[in-house]
Formats: sequence, structure tokens, C-alpha cells
Amino acid sequence: MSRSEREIAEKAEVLEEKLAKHGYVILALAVVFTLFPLFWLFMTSLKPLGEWASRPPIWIPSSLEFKNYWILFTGGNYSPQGGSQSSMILTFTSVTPALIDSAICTAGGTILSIVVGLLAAFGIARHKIGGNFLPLFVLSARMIPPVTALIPIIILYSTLHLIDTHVGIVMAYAVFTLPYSVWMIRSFIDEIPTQLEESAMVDGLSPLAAHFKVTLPLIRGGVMATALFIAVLNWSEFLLALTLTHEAIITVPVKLTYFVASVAVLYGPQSALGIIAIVPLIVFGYTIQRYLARGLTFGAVKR
Amino acid sequence: MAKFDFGSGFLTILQDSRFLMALGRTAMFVGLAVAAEFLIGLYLANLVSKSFRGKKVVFSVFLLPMFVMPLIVGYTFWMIFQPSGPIDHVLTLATGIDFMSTFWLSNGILAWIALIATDIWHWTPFMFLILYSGLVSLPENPISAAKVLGASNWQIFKDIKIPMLRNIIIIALVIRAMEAMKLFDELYLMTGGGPGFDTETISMYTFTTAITTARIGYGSTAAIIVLLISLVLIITAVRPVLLVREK
Repeated sequence: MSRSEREIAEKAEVLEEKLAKHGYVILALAVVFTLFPLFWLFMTSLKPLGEWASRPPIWIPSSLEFKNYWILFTGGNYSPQGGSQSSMILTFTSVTPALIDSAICTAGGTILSIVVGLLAAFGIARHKIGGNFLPLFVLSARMIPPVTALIPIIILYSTLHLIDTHVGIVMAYAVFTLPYSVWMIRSFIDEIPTQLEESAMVDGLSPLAAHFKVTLPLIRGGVMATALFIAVLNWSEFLLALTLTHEAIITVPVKLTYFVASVAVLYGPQSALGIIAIVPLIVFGYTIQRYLARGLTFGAVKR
Repeated sequence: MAKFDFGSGFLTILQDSRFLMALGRTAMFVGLAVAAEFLIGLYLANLVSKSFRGKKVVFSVFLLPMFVMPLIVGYTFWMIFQPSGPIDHVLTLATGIDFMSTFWLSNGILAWIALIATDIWHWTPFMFLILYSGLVSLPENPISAAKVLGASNWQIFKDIKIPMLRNIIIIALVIRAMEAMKLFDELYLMTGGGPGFDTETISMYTFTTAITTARIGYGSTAAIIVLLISLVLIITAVRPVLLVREK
């Protein structure tokens, strides 16, 4: 280590000590930075019309407008109170079908993506299928802007009568998230030494059974974390849901655009839907959190 | 019957300064945002990987932004960055200087600051999640051995933890860069590529040429060029991960 390197290391040491001392302060700042936009979104979801975009901003709404939430589920006429546009009346349908459709499509797409991704990842990581080309080819599917892939998909789906069906959306979601599930799961598999599977196979397990009985339990957390990320991508997918559905199916991101009316953007109900849409993912994230402690295990076996 | 046009579209587009500028802006955005997300995510992951009170809550809070839909993120930050909006209000109250009419989204540089801050807020959780899980599952032996030999925390971090996390760092960076390159919803809602073309990225450019002005061929050509460039960059980036397998 040269002298300047040592100086840098010493400086870094001092800096790190300082940072460690102020760790709580930095954490608190990061928490505030993280929560502030969410706070604003939540407050907007409770504001009556006139306070959505007032200047200077209104931090705490003068009256809590729970109607913003209520109207989402009941549907019907919406005539916001306050503001200059109090005569504005808009009609909505309930968002409940959208939440159900979104849940079906997200769950289906995520499960399909993870199952296929898991099998593909085993093939690529353990059996070297496709050499170096196949993994890159799979990843490159995600590099194409989805807009350019849309027209062929629409033609294909019209021929197969998949437009406006759950199956069609689930398949599209799975295909578009597959590159990430393959790559993330594969990196977990790579971290598990092959010797474990080999000794299991000596004991009489087939290669497939060795994959699923030996390696899979060790990468369970990693698969769950991948599933969380894939679910986040599917849940907020907009372009595919917009173009591949007409009326039978509507997902939450598409429903969100309904609140952009000709006269104004209805920030209250839209924010309320945004808040509601976070809840399923929080639940999912919370459920898998116990796997995450050991999750994303890059080295389940201590070497 | 249309004739195939070999290459003239590519030549035209490579001389289109609006396309080249959009390409440059995208590179700048991806570089800055992903680098910041990686560094903040790594720092926070390292901080949270130590044990302290309220760790579970902090961990859950740091994941939250990832769960918000891009559309919602876009207009939440659009509201926050309005002139006389919350950010201006906070800055004015905090510094005593009047920031109340800062036009964040209609000034080229400020709009970029706002967009990058938005992306950092939205996607640092992804980096945090992956790096945190990587950090907590590192084997103890090399770390305690280094401690016995008198290595400082910084040396352990730099010379042991980071090299051991190399593959996951590469994959996290690649995934994040690929997603950042396609930034659209937030951009569309917050600036729409404006003021002028100041925040027009490649996805915005492709959208405008292919959809708004209905020049699908031209937009597709732009997409193909971006695909080729990103393919080369990503292959270079993931080479170490691919080569590990062959040892």
C-alpha cells in the first residue's frame, strides 16, 4: 500500500467513524425523504377539491374527505365539494373489478414468470443450456422498448383470440418479466455449490429431484425476493394492460387514467386509488419478509 | 408494394441532432440516477445490516417507494415540484430565503434535478433490497479473519464485502440501468420532455416520433439503435458474471 493510499484509507476511516456516529441521523433523514412523498400522496387522498393544488400548499386538509375513498368502491356520481368547480359531476364505476382483475393478472403473471424462470435458470446455471448466448438473448428481450413490440403482439393476440382475456394478460406479463426472473434466480443458483447436488445424486436422486430437493430450499428466499420485484413490475404495468384489453378486463394502472377528466384531474380519488394500490404489495412484501432475512442468499452454504 | 429500405433510415437518424441529444440525455440520466441509487442503497443497506432498535420498521419503510405505481409517483412528484408547492414551501421555511416561485419543471437543469430525485426516491429500494440481502448473507469467516488481522471496517468493506458481492452488484446495476433507460411515466407526467426538448429522453423521443407524429418506421429505427448500443454495454457489463460459470 503506497503512502497516498494509506492516507486515503485513514481519511475514509475517520469519515466512516463520523458516519457511524451519525448513523441514526442519516437513517432518520432517509426515512423522512422516503416518507415525505407518501405523506403528500396520502394527504392529497384526503383533501377536498379546492385544496389539491392550492398555493401555498395545504399540509393538513381542512376537512377529511373520506368520500375520495368511498366513491372508489361504490362508484356513482362524484361531485367534489369546494373550489370553483363545485358544479362538476362525474360518473365512475367501482374500482373493485379492477382490483380483482389486477390481482388475478399480477398473481398469474408472477407465478408463471417465476415457475418458467426457475426451470430456465436451472437449465442455464446447471446444464449450461444455450452457452453464453441464451442468457444474453433472454435478457435482450427486456431491452426492446415495449412500444415497438406491441404491434406484433396485438396481431398475434387477435389471431389467437387472446385480447381482453386473463390468459392473454397473464402470458404477456410473464413473458415481459421472464428476463429478470431468469437472471435473478440464476444468480442465486450459481451461489450454491454443485457438490451438494452431486452428493444427492450419488445417493440416488435424479438430477431434477436434486435441483428441487437440494438447491431450491436453499434459494427459497432469493426466489421470493425475485417474486416481489416481478410482482411490483406486473402490478404497475400499464402499456400492455392498456392495449391488450378493451372492456372485459381493466387493471388498476389503466383505471387510474380514468380520473383524468376533461375539466380537471381528480387528484383526490386518484391518490386514494394510488394508496389502496400499495396495500396488496405491502401485504405481499410483509408475508415474504421472513424469507428475506435469509432471502437473496448469495452463499447459503458458508464456504 | 413497399420496397425494403436498407440502411438509409439509420443514416438519417444518426444525423438527427434531436435523436443524438436524446441519446446523450438518456445516458446522463441513467448514469447519474443509477450511480446515486447504487451508492445510497449500498450505504443504507450497510447501515441497516447492523442490529439496532426499530430495524424491522426501517427496513419496511425503505422498501415502500418501490410499491408505488410509476403513474402515481409521476404525479405525486409533479405536485411536490409545483412552483409554490411543498418543496418550495419547505425550502423557504428552512432557509428563510424565498423559494416560493421556483419553477422546477420548466427549467432544464432544475427539471433534471427533479426527475433524478424522483427516480432515486422510487428505485433506491430495489438496490437496497438486493444489497441488504447480499450483505447479511455474506459468510462470516473471511470477515472475522480480517478483523483478527487488524483490518479496518473500511478495508473489510472495500476488500472483502464488495468483491464478494460483485456478481449481485453487477446484476442489480444492469437491471436498474435497463429499467432507467425506459423511464417514461414519470417523465411524461412531470415534464413531458419539456421545457422544449430539454428533458426528452430516448423513450420519450421514440414515443413522440412513433405514436404522436405516426412515423413508426423512424421510431422503430431509433429503438433498434438503442437496442444495439445497450446490448453492447450490457454484454460488457455482465461478462464477469458469465465467465464465473466457466471456471
